[in-house]
Amino acid sequence: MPLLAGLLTLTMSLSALSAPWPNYRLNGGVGGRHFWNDPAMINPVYAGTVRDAMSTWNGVGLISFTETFSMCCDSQIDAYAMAYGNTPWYGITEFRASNGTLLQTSEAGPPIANWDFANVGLNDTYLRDPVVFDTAQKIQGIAAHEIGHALGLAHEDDPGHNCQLMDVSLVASWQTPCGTIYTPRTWDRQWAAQLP
Amino acid sequence: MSLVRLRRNEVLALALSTLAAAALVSAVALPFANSESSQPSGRSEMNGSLVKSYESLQAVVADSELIVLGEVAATEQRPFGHFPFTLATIEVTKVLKGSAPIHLRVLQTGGTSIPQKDGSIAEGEARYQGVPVTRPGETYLFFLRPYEGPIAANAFVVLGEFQGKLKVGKDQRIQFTGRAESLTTPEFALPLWAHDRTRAEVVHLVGQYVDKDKKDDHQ
Repeated sequence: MPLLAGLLTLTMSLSALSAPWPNYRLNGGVGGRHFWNDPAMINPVYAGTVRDAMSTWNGVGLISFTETFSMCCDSQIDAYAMAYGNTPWYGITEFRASNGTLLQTSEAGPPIANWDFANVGLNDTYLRDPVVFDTAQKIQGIAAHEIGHALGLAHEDDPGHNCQLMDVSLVASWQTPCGTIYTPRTWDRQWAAQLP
Repeated sequence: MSLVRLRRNEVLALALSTLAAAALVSAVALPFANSESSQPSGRSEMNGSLVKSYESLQAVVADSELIVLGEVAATEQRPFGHFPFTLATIEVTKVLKGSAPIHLRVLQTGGTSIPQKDGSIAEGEARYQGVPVTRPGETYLFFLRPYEGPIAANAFVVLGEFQGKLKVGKDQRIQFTGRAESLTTPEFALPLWAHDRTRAEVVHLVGQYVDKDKKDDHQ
């Protein structure tokens, strides 16, 4: 029995490597939704970056997000940009439930429940570094990657699907023949098209 | 076959492609899955773009400025902006690389004080990639570098967030603290490799890699 359960776990895990997170979704779906840029972003340039990044996902499958300027409650992706210091990440996405409640525990893969909105954080401490982020496209790549998570996409770990926006090591991939990836690629788009 | 593809294949080691690997997963995964039910009910999940992803012990040793074994003496919530952070005070029991005081502070992403849209703080638990922040009384092998930023002064951060902290169980073996599903992805190659190895074995290997790096630096 443990072996059977292990095989089931393995199968579920492999299926999650290169697709939308299989068990959970953005409540209400990805069509006709809103994103919001924090007006207190450390640099207002990031708001434009988020808009550009969002536009690269719009039109893929059902994805349709327009910007809202209302501070509260009607956005499904909230974007922030601060100098968080040299944390281990360039960008971060956190899945939230509405009304101050948190997602409930689940034993299935990430995220751990359906979510109502996601917070996307861009770390200005790194993104303002002109050596690593020497083009606007690279900053947009980080934003688009995080938005991909917020929409419902996992990291891309399948060795047969290199050079995707959702690669686990996006910045490292820029040093390879992949070049700078800042828009959804073939597999990114294929998976995004599956999002409900 | 590209180098990238080859590397990833090596990382996975395609232990997962064999029935033997499935048996291994079955042996290690179920206890993790069962342990989930004891967690608090209000949870949040975090994901992101790692500055660097560490898939081997040698790589994380090479990049660490400080490697220590230590017990978590206390934790303090440090929510910043709209994200939760935790500052842990570590009582160092062994220094494997670099130099460290008896007590040091480690900043981690995630925690139990969750900033809300309206600026209030809700209690719950936020985990980065499903891995909880350290808790008082737990012992870890930490791979660290100094933190420079506004959230905490005189602190360190963990390399690869969840990759550079290996929990040592009471049986002196390394325990994986995240979700079972995570173990099959390259991001978790290092925790998977370390899981259930003895603390002594991993510490010994760390020492070997540190010595090798020193020799390489001198040459």
